[in-house]
Amino acid sequence: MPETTYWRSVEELRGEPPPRPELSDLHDPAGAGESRRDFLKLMGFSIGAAALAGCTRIPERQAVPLLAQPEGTLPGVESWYATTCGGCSAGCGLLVKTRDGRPIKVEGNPHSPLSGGATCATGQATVLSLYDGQRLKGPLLHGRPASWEEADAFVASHLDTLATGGGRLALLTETIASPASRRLSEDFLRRFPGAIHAVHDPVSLAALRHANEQSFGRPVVPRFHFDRARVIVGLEADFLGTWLSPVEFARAYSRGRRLTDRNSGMSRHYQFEAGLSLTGSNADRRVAVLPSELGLVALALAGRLAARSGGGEPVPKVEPPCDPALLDTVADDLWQHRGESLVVSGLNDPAVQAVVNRINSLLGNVGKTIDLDHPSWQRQGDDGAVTALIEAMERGEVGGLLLWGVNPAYDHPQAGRFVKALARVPFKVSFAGRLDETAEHADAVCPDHHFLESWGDAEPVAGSFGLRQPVIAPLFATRSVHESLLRWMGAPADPLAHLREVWRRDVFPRQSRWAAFDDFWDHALQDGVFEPPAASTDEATPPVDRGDLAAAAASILAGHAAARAAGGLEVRLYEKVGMRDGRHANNPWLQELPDPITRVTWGNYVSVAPALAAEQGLADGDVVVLKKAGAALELPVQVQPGHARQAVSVALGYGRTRAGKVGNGVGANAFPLLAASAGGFRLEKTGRRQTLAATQLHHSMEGRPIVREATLAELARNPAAGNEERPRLETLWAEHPREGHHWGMAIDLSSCLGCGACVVACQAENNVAVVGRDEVTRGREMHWIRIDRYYQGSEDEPRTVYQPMMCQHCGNAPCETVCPVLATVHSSDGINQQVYNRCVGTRYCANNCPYKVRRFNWFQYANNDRFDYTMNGDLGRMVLNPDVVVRSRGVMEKCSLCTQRIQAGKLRAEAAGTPLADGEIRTACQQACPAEAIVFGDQADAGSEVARQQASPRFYHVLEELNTRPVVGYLTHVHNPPEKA
Amino acid sequence: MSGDLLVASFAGETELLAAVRAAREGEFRIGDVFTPYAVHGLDEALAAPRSRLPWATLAGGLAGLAAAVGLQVWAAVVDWPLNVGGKPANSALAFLPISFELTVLLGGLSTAAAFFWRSGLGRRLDPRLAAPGITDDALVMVLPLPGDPDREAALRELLRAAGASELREVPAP
Amino acid sequence: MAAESIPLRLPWVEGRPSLKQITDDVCRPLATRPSASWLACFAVALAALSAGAAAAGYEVATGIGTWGLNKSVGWAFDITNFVFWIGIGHAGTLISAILMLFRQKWRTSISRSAEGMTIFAVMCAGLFPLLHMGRPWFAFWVFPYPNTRGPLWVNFRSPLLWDVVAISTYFTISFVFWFVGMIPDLATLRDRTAPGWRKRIYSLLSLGWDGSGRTWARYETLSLILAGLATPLVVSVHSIVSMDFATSVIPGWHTTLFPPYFVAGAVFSGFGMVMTLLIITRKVMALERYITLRHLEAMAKILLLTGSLVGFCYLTELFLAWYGGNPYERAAFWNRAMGPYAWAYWTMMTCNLFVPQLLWWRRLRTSVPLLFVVSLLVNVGMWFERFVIIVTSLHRDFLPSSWVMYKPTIIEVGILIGSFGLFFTLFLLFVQALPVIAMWEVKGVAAGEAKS
Repeated sequence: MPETTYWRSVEELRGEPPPRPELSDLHDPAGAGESRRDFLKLMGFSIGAAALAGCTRIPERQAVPLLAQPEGTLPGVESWYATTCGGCSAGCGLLVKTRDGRPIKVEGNPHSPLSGGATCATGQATVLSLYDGQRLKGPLLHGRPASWEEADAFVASHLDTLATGGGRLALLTETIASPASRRLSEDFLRRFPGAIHAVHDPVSLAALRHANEQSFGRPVVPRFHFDRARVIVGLEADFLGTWLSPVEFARAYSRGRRLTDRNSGMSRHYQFEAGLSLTGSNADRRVAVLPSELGLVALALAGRLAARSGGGEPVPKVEPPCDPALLDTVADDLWQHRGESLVVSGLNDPAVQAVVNRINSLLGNVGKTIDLDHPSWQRQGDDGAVTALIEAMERGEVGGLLLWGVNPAYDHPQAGRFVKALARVPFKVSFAGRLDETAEHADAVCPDHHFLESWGDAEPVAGSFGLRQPVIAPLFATRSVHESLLRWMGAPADPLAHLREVWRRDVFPRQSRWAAFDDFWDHALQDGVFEPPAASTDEATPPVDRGDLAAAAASILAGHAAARAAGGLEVRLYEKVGMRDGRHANNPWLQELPDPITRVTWGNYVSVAPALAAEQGLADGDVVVLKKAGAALELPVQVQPGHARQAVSVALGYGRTRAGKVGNGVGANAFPLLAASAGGFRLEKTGRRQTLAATQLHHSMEGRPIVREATLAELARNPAAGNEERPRLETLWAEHPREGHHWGMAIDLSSCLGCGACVVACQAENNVAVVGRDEVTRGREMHWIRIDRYYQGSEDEPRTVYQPMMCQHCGNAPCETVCPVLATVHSSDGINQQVYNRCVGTRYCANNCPYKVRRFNWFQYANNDRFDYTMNGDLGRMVLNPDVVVRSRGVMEKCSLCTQRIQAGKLRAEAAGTPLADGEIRTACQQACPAEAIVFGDQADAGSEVARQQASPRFYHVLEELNTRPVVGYLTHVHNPPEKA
Repeated sequence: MSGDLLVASFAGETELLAAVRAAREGEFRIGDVFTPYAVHGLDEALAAPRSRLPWATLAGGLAGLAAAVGLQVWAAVVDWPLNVGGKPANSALAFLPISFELTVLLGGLSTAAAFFWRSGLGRRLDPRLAAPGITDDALVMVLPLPGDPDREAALRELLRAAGASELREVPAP
Repeated sequence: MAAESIPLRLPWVEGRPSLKQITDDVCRPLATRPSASWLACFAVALAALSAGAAAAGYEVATGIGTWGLNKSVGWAFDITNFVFWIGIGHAGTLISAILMLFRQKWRTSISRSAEGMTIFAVMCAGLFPLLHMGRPWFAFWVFPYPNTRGPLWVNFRSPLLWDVVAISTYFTISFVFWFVGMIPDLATLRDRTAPGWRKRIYSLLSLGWDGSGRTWARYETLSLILAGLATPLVVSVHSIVSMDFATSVIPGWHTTLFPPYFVAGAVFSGFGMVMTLLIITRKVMALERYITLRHLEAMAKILLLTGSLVGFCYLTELFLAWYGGNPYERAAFWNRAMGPYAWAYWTMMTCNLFVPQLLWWRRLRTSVPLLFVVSLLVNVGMWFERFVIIVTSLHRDFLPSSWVMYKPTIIEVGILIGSFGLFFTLFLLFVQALPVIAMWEVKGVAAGEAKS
């Protein structure tokens, strides 16, 4: 009889495989197949989003589903807004990444004509300050929390009396580079007879504007074009780190030095300075001279150039403090590059600036590399005006004082005097966002928004505008200064309307592209920046230099003589990269950012020359008192190779007392020393020691080919100069098959300036924990990317090289082989993956890593009162990137090449159905780098930039003889020293 | 005929061994010999067959080897091959140590198990001792009494000659 | 009679005790209450153990951060102690297995305690791989069990995994060996103990041993096989431990010399520890008659041999570092001998290479106090050997930017002390509860000597 067959489906009957539902069908519009990882990632997104959706204003513990979804926010989908950075007055354009209504990362705005998409460490860290629990939650009246109504009533009553002749009203502000703010303050003060507006810069550059007035009749800070200069001479000007507009300058500087297959030339950079600055460490030739001798250097140069120019006003002859032959070389170099050279000085001394002006005039740089027609609006502070204000206050003339963005009780050289004077002012209002050293003396504190919460604009350089828009509803009951001032003026308290009004009147007319203001506004707001077409480049005759050189020379010689007479040590006060003037002292990311030069975190110190240390028997960590009549500062010593022998350096911006729990009491406040004249200091040992929290303790490469180097001249002769030793690598096994992408990275060591923007960017992107001073001293910082700094040559004249070091993602990774539980394995696209939830924490991988880039979670860093920095509270945790897991105690972590960005990029491309374009995925470090030193991409794609750079004869892998076959590699460090001297 | 046993005690191993040899020459069946320690030469004297324990060792060892190699290769090559340090999925060399260890482990355990099983250790925890001091200082030989009285007399004579310190009859268990 | 004739060789058992005498001597301490000296030792050991337990508890509860480790030095005390204790264990196996294969009669009176030492040392060693994990509660992940993660297996290429298997095997085999060796003696105890719970326990453990000749025959075979297995095992275990370092890329670790070097070192340190223990035990338990000066001298000779082997390895390392011409290797060894941890290196050199050379002289070899001091120094030296290998290689490896110093914390020291506490607690319990000398073996030897 026939056998009956039962079948459940046609496929089964026909012997075909049954249809299986694809995961991708569940979520992916493009319907492409997905890996388990993608699925988990998306699941993570939605769960995280659900949990965080309630967090737009105040963080909620329990997950609250959105009843009405805010317009424009998709849970788990990021959105970007253009705004302008408020980290300093340089006003770089930013793009802010928000997730579920929370800004979690700032990146440079590529449209920005100044920063061009780059940021500095400080800018990267500003997003964390937004979630600082130490910010004021609302207005204070006589130190007690009050409602805005009460505050307004109080202020209004006093303003009325002032308006009707009850004493003069004074407005003390920081440098205002914002047209709207400038106009608003003017309009506001107009009501008050005899009102004063003084501008205070903690680190002043008033001398530069003064000198420019003397020399060119223009009291401005010019715009400097470092990219146009073939020869750059810096006199104590840290333009790559902290001076005026570091991001803009760093970008231009590295543009002028980048070596590509097209461009084989680079500028030559001389630096004369006392302490080793970031800028000096990048110079081709750096000369250590005392602060009091810089003027002599300037004069000597001026003299030599005058001689070469033949005729002109004679320059008094001086005995140069350094090798005259070298000065001749510099002079020749400058003279050969007339019109394409640049001499800058950061000294706040009109005489020196006058001489520098003369030098630039002799070289015809004014109008070429120095633009007086489009001046920079940085450092508009006027020390004289501030002193005058203080005197007025002391005389009791000032009836009311408004403090906007300033903290003179901390950062004024005569803070004590200011505070005393403050007591004589009957009515004091501060707009400070936190109860800082000054605000605590104010009658009313009307806290300003964080810049990410407020409307505003910026004009960092004349004719280059930026707009600022809020990217999150105010976290606390704060109020923008604009709104406060408008309200007190009785005007409609709408900052946005006011801003639009200002732009309609001042900016809109300067363009012709958009007929309607609203179109113009929308585009400007979307771009975040606006630059009107340059009105007729008046490259006419550059202004003639009318500076009084003789007087300048006299004052310089007098000053030098005085310093000589004072004897002892000279003190150089400088701003640290990242920490700057100390306004961000409560930002743990910046506190833990290693100083590019000293690699020290959490605090300042007295940097001394090795020779001086030897002479006085000092070593790193010996606590000393830096003394002179009327000034004393107690700090540990840091022995700094390359430091001028008879001088010491101390960083400003530390020793805050009212910054917040993170910043209070870190280091000591050096601002009072600004008052004392440079010379005549001495060091007294206290006998105590305080270990410096340094992330790098050994400073020599020990002759190992870690950073490979060549000079430009050598490179011209041999394209592989410095990179000749390439081992022949054998392997026992066939390479593993690769599908699709093979990610790689190339880092140009001659571009890298060591500024550390990448470090903070990585920290922000990857939720890297802050561990605090003690743990850093134990060698446990968690940064995924670090910048190794090595000295070469003698202790007195070292050359500095930098090397960003992160996981090299070795093809033959030593770490993977030794992990017993397969917690670190290799992906098919060339990434060394760390699987946190599989890791049991044997640390074998870290031991076996030749690059020592793996970081172990020694403690529970999140939700742990021992580590009360960023991840120990709902507020601080709002900055966390939901795409990156917060690692738990006992697991290993390391650079993932921003795998979340790679995944997102791949998903985008898949959804769009287009192949992934080169440069579409950018790692956080690459994105932030002002020097464009880091390139990431698909090395399997021969056309990609990274593939091109890896083909360069300058390209090499660190420790490649170990046959680890990394995908991260480096291009040799090229410097361009003068042939002679 | 009662199947009683004759228990002969000896002062030392010399006497015991002599008695064992004599008894075997006299073609008497030897029940067993009980001593407080392993008397050397007793096996030869008794002409005991060679132990087959080594076979258990071999079997266990091979099993261990097979298990180790099997698991490692299957897990690393077949079940879920992963790129670990750029090494091939079948990193045979790296699998050697574990293979060796498991061979030894199972070899040893199986031998011990076989020993316990064959010697019946652990079956009864209160054994009936041939003589009180067996585990202290007594060396005894146990023989089944031959039925025929002449033979029995000969046996007793032979044992005394060999130096038995005492002869007892005990009922069979 | 032979008894009166002058023996050609000195006896391994002094005073010609009768078999009964031997039984009584060995069993007496087990029947009587613990002596005052025993109680004193036990109190100290327990105190140390509790201190260690507290330290370990704090570490597990708080994090590895309670140790002095850092970004470059990921191992220090933890793995140093691990290797140290494993090494200690090796002497036991060597004495019971290898010397048995060589038919060394003198091992009989010390083998039992040596094997016990092995087991306790391996227990101590096993603690550290567990404690050193960042997440010890997931330690079971290192076992290849079917799971719902794929199943995701373990990395059979990782020396740490080899360790896990090797150590467990080593422990199991040593334990079986130890227990089997004790069955006849347990039977002896069973038969001399009055009925009661003690007797019941002894009956249970002795598995109804009746001293049958047939069983003895198989028993000897079993011992030989286990010895035959344990011998390559003991060599493999420390070779594998050495591969934790040898298979890495770190200069100072990446050395093919390590396996023999480590095995020699293990035997060396092990004999040092046996010496220490026996010199104490024979006093405390009044067993000088069985653990004679000849035993100590024999062990002293082994110390001299293995110590010189280890020293030879040190010198070979130095030579190859120079001769090999690898700059990183050279730097690593220069740093060992001249760097900030030179004091540790020279402690190691002194204790392991120079001190044992004293044992060339018979007079020194036979002086119990001196042997005691030497044995202690050997243990110190061997601990430092592992410390030097681990820490000085890690704290300065390839990139000078990551060079750091390592300083232990009180917690790490506490855990080290605790491991000693655990070891001595177990050992003291052992000598009080079980026959510390293999009676049946000694009886065999004694009988043999009686014949001669």
